[in-house]
Order: sequence, then C-alpha cells, then structure tokens
Amino acid sequence: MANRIQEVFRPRAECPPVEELVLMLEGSSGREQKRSCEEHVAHCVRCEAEVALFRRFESGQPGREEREPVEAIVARLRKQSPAKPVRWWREVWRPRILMPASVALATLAVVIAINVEMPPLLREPSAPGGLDVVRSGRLVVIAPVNDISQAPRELRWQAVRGAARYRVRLLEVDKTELWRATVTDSSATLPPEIAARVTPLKTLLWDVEGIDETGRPVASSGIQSFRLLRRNSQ
Amino acid sequence: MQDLTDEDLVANFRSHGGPPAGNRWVDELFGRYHSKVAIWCYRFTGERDLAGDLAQDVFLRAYRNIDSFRGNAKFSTWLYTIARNHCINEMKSRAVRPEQTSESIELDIEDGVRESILASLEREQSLQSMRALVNETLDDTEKRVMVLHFGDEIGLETVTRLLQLKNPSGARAYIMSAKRKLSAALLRWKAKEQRGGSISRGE
Repeated sequence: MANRIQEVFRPRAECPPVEELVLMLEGSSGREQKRSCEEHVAHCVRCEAEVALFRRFESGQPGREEREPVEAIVARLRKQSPAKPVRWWREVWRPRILMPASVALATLAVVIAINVEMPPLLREPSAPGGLDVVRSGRLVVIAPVNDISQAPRELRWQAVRGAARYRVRLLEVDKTELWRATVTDSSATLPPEIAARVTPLKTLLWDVEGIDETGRPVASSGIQSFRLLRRNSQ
Repeated sequence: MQDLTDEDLVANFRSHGGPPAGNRWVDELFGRYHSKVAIWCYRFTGERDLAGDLAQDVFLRAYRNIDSFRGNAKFSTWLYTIARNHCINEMKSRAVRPEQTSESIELDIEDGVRESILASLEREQSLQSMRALVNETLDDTEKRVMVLHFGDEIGLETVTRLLQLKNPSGARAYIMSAKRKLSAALLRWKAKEQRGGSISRGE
C-alpha cells in the first residue's frame, strides 16, 4: 500500500513543469489556460506544493537566524561569480578593440622584456618546440579553494576560450606532485586513492593550465590551496 | 541596468556575444538572485559551507546552460528549477546523512483491511479518487510536507527548514497528523465501498 499512496504525492504525466505552471497562473498563456491551470492546481496536491515552494523561493526573505549564514554565502557568491565582468584593462587587449598590428607589437615587446629582464629561474617553462610561453589569460578556479567542509570529489574551474584541454595537478604543500591528469572538460574527478589523501586540516595545493589545439598554454590558474576542515569545526 | 528585466539582461548578454563580453549583464542578473539561492540552499542543507558550495554550483550550472533558457519563460522559475533539482540530487547522491531522518508512509490500519484497500488502489480510477481524498482530507501544510517527504524523498529536517515550520517536532508532526487523517478517511471509504460506493469527495 505504501507505494500506491506514495504515488499520490508524485508528479503525474499531466502535471506541467513548474516553469509552465507559474507562467500559466500569471496569465501569460491566456485566460483559458490560466483558468484550467488554476483548476488543476486546486485539485493536484503535487502542483499546489510546487507552486507554494516556488513562491517561497521567490519571496526570498531570510529568517532572523538565517541572516548571518545567508550573508556569508552571498558574499562568497559575489566574490566567485562565474560571470565576473571583464575588466576594462583586459577588454583593451581584445583584438577587436586593439588593431592586430598593435597586438603583435605588444606581444613582441612582452617577449623581449621577458627574455631580457627576467632571471632564468622566474621564466615560465618552455612549451613543446622550445618556444617561451606567453600567458594570454588567467584561469579562474571554482573549487576547492580555502577552507572547505566537504572532501572534494573533483577539481573545478571555469572553461576558457581557446583551451582544447586542461592539465591539472594536485600537490603537497612542498610542491611534491600527488597526481596529475589531462582532461577536456572544466573539471577533473579525483581517483578514490587520491581523494583519500585529502584529510582534515591538511593543506593541499593544485593548479590547472588550459592548453590549445597545438599544445600551447593559453591560461593558467597559478597555485591554489585548500584545506578540509574538521567536521565539528565548521 | 537596474531598470532592465531579468529577461532583458539575458537578451543583452546574448546580443553582446555571450561570455566574456556579455558577462556584466549576467553578473547583474545573478546578483539579483544571490540571496534567494543562498536562502534556498541554506534551508536545504542547514550548513553554511555546504550551502555555499551548492549555491555556487547552481550559478555555475546556470551560467553554463544559459543558452537553454527560453525567452518565453521567467528567469526566476528557470533558475529555481536548477536550484531545486541540484539540491535534491546532491543531497541524494551524498552518503546518508545522520541528521536526516525519514518517516514511513504505512498507515495505521489493521492488516486485513489494509490488504483490501491495497487491492482497490490497484485500480487507476481508485488512485485518482485517492488523490481527491488526500486533497480534501489534509490541510495545505500537511499536503506540502507529504509531497516533499514522500514524493521527493526529502529528509524531515530539510522539509522543516524549507517550509519554515516552527512547531517543536517540525515536519514529523504534520506527517503523523496526515497519516491519522488518511487512515480514518480510508477506513470510511472502505466501509462505503463495501456498501457498494466508491471513494468520493467530501467523505
């Protein structure tokens, strides 16, 4: 009997998704659709609950005890938005703004400056073919970073234009390499034996580099660090 | 930019060629929903750090899939669907959380009668009538608690937070009360069926 009663609370084939439900209830699909949707919601416990829950989401008022954690989460979201606007000084370097000749000139100047001014130890590693690497972008990591409460199952970052694949490394704090992988997606799943190395209060490092079709690095994250908190220290 | 609707911001993002040139439109758009998604994820998990992880995932998914947003829908419902599904799936995919408890839907009806009711419910028509019975018998909060817990298999503590139930035992109390009402209603229905009727509204 349990399963049959449970079915009463599950969506049926005729239950529209909540996106359509809300539109119809607001009358965007016409008066007749609105009336028939109201009729459906009045007799469907499932859809009534769906709409009520969406209204709670939409009203979005935190309770008194929720204010502090919600503010902290919002601050984190602002800091790590996946849609961070491009800064004007980066925009300037886009080829559509700067004439191609200027870009070539600037690149040449950077290459010369690196070769002339930088001590050999500070140079980027050579790309295949012996050419020096000229970074064209910063790769933004998503997680894990800083203190985290859940052991990560994967390393994630924002995809960058022009990267055909990504080279990702997990390192000890002394930069000893624990694991590396090359992936085409913007995340890399940690193998179980490596994930097991992530233990509470141990800081680990990681970095990721985007590589284009020719094997040339196009963006790099730089070294990132994270630490798994103890369960009771959150 | 503040005067633009959510849907206008998505349109501007697209007309500026998407990322990265159009990012400022989506950044503004996402900013309007930071608090809503944060509240949702916090109520879902009850943990600040985990809620932050989930909220970040929600916006990342939205950013990656913004091409699938259809202009004839509302952005708020589109984002809500992502948040809702992501939180439910993530919580299910994690190991069983000790603080999440569940309740059985078994009603307090003696075995013989229960079997007989079960046989009746195998008929689709009876199941439809059962839906009507539930709708008429339970109050709004009981219905919502039952949908979230038995329909979506969301833990009782999460249901309590999502619906902001303030009573001491939270969602569990509503389930107990709903089960009592349903047991009584089903027994009345069975008695009537034996007299030749069927489940009907207003029983």
